[in-house]
Amino acid sequence: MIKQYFIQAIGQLKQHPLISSINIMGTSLAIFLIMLVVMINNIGILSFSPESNRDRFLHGSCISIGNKDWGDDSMSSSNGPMSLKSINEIYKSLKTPECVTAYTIFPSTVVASIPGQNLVNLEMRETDAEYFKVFDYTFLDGKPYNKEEVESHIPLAVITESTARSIFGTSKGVIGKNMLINYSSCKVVGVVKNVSILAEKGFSEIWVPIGTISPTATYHDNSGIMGAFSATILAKDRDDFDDIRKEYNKRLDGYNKSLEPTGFHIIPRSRPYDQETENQVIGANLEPDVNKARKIEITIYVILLIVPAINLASMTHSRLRQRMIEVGVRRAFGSTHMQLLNQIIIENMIITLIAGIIGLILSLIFANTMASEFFQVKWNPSLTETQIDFSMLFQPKIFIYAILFCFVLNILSCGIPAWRASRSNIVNSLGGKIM
Amino acid sequence: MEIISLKGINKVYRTNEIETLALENVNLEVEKGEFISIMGPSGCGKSTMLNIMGLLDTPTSGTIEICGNNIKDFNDREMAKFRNKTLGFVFQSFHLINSLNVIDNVEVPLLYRKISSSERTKLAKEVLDRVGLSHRTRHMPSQLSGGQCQRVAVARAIVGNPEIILADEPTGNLDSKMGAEVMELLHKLNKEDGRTIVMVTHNESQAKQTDRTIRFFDGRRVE
Repeated sequence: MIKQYFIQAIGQLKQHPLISSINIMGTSLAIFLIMLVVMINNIGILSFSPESNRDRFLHGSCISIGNKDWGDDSMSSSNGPMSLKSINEIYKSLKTPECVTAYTIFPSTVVASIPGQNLVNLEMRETDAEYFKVFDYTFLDGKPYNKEEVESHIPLAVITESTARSIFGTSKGVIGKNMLINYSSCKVVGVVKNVSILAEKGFSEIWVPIGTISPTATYHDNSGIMGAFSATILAKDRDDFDDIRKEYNKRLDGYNKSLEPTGFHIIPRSRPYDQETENQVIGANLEPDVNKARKIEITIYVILLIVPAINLASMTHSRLRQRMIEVGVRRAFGSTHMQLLNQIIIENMIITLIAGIIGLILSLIFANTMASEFFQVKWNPSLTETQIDFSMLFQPKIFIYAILFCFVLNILSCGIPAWRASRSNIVNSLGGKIM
Repeated sequence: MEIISLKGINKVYRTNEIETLALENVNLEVEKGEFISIMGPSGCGKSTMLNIMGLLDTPTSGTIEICGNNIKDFNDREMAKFRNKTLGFVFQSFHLINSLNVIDNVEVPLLYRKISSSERTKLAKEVLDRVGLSHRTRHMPSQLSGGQCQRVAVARAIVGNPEIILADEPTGNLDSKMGAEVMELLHKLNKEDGRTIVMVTHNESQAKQTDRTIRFFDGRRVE
């Protein structure tokens, strides 16, 4: 039966090439537009290297602190990244997660070179050794620095292939070579594939052990609670999130007790945030509202689906009017209302899927070529342009969205015309009378 | 033995302004294996009669019994199943599905049965062979002559092995030679297979070739 529907759907396309082309184009554009919105909305949630484990991430990018002398926490708080001491107390001591990493919240712009060459502006992030376990970089050469090297403050660097090219003129054979970062000598230990700035926590062009190049590790404020660092937790499983948060809250209580003599305390909020919540953060002092964001997202999708669906429905209706005799013949030879309804919807679904694939391909190409215009991170301290590759968007979630939207668009655009056609009087249908 | 029995059939078409009596108190019995023709001037109700007999339309009042089943009790699903198993239709304008080739058109009634694809193809090929079109299975309807189209339509009507064939002016759109071929085919189905055939026609000589002719005038059976 499905084979027949397929044959007939293709046959219909061939019979009315102009109408079919317009129909497919309209559907493709509708899917293209909505998929572009899906991609823009989801780029902060989809997993891609080096943030391939986003579904298992819990982020502690910032903390909020209050002080007994500042009054009510809701009125007065200080918000920002943490000191290493705070991260060690409340994040690094957690036992439930698979791994926890500390790193500078933003990459900072440094000058890099080799002696005798021009200086190049590059982005550098300071990290611990666990960073390379939480984030999965593709090492083209060498390896990351280890825990002992970090603790010993040995000046080492992991660099991207484009950094290697701009400093050494090649990305091959640079392991063990020295380069200058902010005029300090550093040995290259690893070369990784370039990272898109859309990997907000994983992006940089140079990574060095904390405290080897700059005094960031010792920078702190508010009794050593705040600093320049963020933490990311890699859970063993998403199901562990609640347990991790429970353990986090215990650590936080203990840390707050130890802070009592200073007058400061950390305001709990609902941290650490999962990737979706973290993606909604618009200010460290504001609790993100994921439900509201989801409602807005769904509303946008509904509008983007209904508008083309209304136009496509009239086209489906006119195509069905041309097929009324066939409707009558099928009913005469034993089709029930429901079988006919199914047939029309499945046939239309085949056409919608063809158009959907075109729309999806168009949206992927468009996203790829117009990445810097459409995809932005919330806080971008660097001038690095946004780069996207297909692997970031070529994901099951995107396909599921595309199929879902095709299905909904199909039902919206042909449901009512199909229902009316299947219910029409057989004799009228055989006479070619319109619905 | 009666295979079709219509009693007290009335059919009224109503619009907001007018009421038209298409059939008035029609009674009709058709014996199993009979080949009957229905004649009458245009608009006399003969096609309405055939549509009601074929369960394509419902009477305003009256009872229909086909193969001993009272149709009044059928829901949409049962009605569709009954049409599929028991009735085959041949239309004046052939009504082939233009986007399907010959064999796919013939397979249409079998799609609504639980039959495998290979079995459907086998049965369709058999009936196409019977109507002399086994060499045209992959042709599209637009590539066939009128006579060939009607033979495909006959093949479609008999592929499900129905007991009754209802033909509404099957030669109306054909020239005399092609019309004669189609009539020969219908007679063959009646004689060799024992199928009951009810045919609406305007052609007196074709009507004379059938077992019995029923005449209609102004919605009433007159003979």
